[in-house]
Amino acid sequence: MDEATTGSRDTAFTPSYLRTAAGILRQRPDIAIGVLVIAVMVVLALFADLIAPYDPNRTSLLDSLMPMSAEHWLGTDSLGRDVLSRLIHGTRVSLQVGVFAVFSAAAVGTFLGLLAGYFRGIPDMIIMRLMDALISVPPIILAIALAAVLGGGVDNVVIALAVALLPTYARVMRSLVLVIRELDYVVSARVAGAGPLRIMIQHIAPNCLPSLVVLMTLNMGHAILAEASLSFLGIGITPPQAAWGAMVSDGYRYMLQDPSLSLIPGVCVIVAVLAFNLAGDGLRDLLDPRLKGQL
Amino acid sequence: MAGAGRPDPDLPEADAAPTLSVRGLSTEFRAGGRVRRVVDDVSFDVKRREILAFVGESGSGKSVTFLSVLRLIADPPGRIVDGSVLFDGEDLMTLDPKGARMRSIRGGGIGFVFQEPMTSLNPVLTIGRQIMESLRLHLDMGRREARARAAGLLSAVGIGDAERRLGAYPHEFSGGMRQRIMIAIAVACSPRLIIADEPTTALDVTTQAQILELLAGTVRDLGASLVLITHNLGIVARYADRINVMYAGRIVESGATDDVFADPRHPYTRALLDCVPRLGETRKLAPIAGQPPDAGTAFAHCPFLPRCARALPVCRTAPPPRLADVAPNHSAACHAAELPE
Amino acid sequence: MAGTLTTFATRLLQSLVVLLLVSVLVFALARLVPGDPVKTLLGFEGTQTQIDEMRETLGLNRPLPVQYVAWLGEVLSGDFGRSITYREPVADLLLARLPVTALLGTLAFVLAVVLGIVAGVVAAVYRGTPVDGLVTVLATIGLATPVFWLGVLFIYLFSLKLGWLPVQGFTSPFVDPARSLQQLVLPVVCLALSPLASIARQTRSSVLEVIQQDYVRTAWSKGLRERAIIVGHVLRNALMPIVTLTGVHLNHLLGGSVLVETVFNIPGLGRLIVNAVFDKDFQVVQSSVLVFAVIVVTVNLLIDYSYAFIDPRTRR
Repeated sequence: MDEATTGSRDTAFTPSYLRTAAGILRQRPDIAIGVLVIAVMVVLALFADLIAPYDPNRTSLLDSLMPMSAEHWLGTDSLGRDVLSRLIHGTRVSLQVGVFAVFSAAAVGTFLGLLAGYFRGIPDMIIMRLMDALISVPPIILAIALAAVLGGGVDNVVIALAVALLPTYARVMRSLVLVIRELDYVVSARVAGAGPLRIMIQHIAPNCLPSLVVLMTLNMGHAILAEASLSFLGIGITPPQAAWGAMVSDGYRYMLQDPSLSLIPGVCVIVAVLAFNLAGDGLRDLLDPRLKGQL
Repeated sequence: MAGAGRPDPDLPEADAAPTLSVRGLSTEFRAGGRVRRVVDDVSFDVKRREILAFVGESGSGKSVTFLSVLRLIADPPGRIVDGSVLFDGEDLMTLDPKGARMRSIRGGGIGFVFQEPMTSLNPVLTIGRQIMESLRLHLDMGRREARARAAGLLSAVGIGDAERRLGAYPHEFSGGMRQRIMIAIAVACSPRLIIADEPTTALDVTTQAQILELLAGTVRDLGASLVLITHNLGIVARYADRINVMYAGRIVESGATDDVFADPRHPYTRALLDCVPRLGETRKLAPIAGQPPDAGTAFAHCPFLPRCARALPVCRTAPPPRLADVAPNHSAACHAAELPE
Repeated sequence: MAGTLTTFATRLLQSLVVLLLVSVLVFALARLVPGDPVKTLLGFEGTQTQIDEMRETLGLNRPLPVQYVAWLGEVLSGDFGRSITYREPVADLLLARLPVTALLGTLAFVLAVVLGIVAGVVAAVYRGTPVDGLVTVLATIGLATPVFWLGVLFIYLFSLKLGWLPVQGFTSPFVDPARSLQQLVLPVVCLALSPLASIARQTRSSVLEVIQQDYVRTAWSKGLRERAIIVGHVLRNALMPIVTLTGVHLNHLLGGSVLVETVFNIPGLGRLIVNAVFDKDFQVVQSSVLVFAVIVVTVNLLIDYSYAFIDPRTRR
């Protein structure tokens, strides 16, 4: 049996987790790969300007549609821009959108879920119906509609994705709170006179942390997929900005001449999403296996 | 006052071949690279029409022994490595565990009552369907006939309005009633052997008594044998004809209940009996020091040694003792057993 | 039985409330559009007097809640406004496009559910074998694959390189079944992949969990065949949570249809909304959002109701 599981059931983040982290990575190569790839992506995103061989937006009609070569490892696109450099910068866009969208969704969603779960009654009903309303529009469509209204651009995509993602946080948080508030030590705290804020901060929040981390990691994958889908449709980025989805769309026209233009950026999406999914699944197995059904 | 189903010596069956005859049964489990022998060289008989109790703490191997008899050990991680199990003359170990013959014995020849009535019934099927399943499978009954018989079984186990309740679902019944339903399922095809694994542990005391009476009575009416797996010595005293005490995957004492209770020869049995308060006695209850070993731990010497108050020098050097007769029809696995008290 | 009726009514009421909230959100969305609503809604520029008159005629000077109620009234009576781009009533557009998306979605859904459950059960029953490994790996990758990229890949492989199937387009199955099928194969498979992967994983997980349950052990002890145990005891219990999750899958499926319709140039609801966004045809956008929401809420409601039949424990 997985010793790491039995070890980390009781507390989520004690210093000993650093020691067991190495053990975990050895036992679960899938998590190791996921974490590694994420680390690489973060580095690429942060230092894109330094790492990318060329300026991603530098056009050169003379060099358009060149195949893979020593100068351009992945060739050039229709405007002569270096594909590799564009892919690297695309990492930055994907991660930026993902991180901001997920953190915003988490912040607002967990807050709402906390309110709903703790106070129950009317606030619960209102908040949950609102969440139901948000969920009943498929995320992509919600994002498209919001983009239509607020305009294109990365900021609005982040807002749109955050709005689409936050109901899940509200729901999960609410279920967790409903359970935790009935635990013996929380009830005793209430009886002893602790105020709601204190209870929420001291008791409820720490217990929700593991599930939240898992949810956020898994959501990153969804956010990246959504961002790629939106940029494929032409929403959310302003050309000539490099984004993976947009690259797939641009390359589509030149499929017969050079399919790699369209296909390789998609592979990047797969790799990125896979990394977050592996890491997220792994984290879930370790931190809170009972979430398996919900997420 | 033991043995509601005590074999009547006047009946010709008293000396007949045993219903179940197990020799040298050993079962191992592989986990994380280690192999644990959870049942170690277990041999015993279940005579016709008798109630045989198997007593021991968790991890002693009593449940796994009988899951092995029924070939219900999942492989991997478990494996029956040795032994023969003769049921009505046929060695179950030679059969294909998923084959037709073994399947017909399960439920048809041997019935099993499990410990957890709350979770042992399928929540989405009616209890009628769950009882009829056995009937139609083993006795090849048509639907109407099976329904009638299922209703009869339900009444026999004490559930009123049986005909109507066949269409009810498990969640509509209490724990005690679910256990009655389990018994009905186990005896549906008139098996010759019923194995009840801690059938009353999960029930409250009053219900416990009712269920045991039901079980003992049903078995008597069927003329079948009953293996009662339990850690409750009170139940053993009341119902069992014979008792096998298990420790660390082995049988450490075996004999008629009266004999074993009156004169326990294995220190473990002695200690178990000392734990049980008896009416009319005022003495200090003495819990057994130490913990039972994890299931499947290997021992170079007697497994009870760390907790034994009567250990002899030979116990620390000799291999684990084997079951040996210490009196007629009474055996114990202890180096010190033959010595006078 | 009374209990079931009350639940029935409560759920219905909840759904209606949700739809109402969605309509409020949609209405608010339209009002968020920067710029003059008259120009936005009508898409023309005229003299100030014309604009003022239009404004009066459209009732834009009334307080917002009143406008909302009026708008709701129109929507409920089937008037979704007019499209700027197509110069048609939006309702007509929706009516024309909806069956296309419905066909695409239903086919993909059925494919995903059937194949997904089969794959999941097989993987669970043969757990630990290469079959299980293959299913799990494929499912994991499938979940990470963007639908639009898959579409592009399929087109490249099957249309351009191998020439087996047409690149794009849509024909009604009532008009030309053969051609319709040819054109639908790629988009349907494409759309089905993600939910299929998800359902396969969830089914596998659910079956594995159910197999450990005590009542399955009881079934074994009765001497039932393995197949009878899996079908009669395991599946019914294992599939219950899957049914609950179909609502979520449908949600994502509808989102995916937007992308698939764009890639394969299929005249459905999804492509309509995408084009409308670029054309700034807001009537179409907000009406389409409403329609999608209605579909999702209705299907989820039906799924919730079906649960009463599937799980006897919920009937009391």
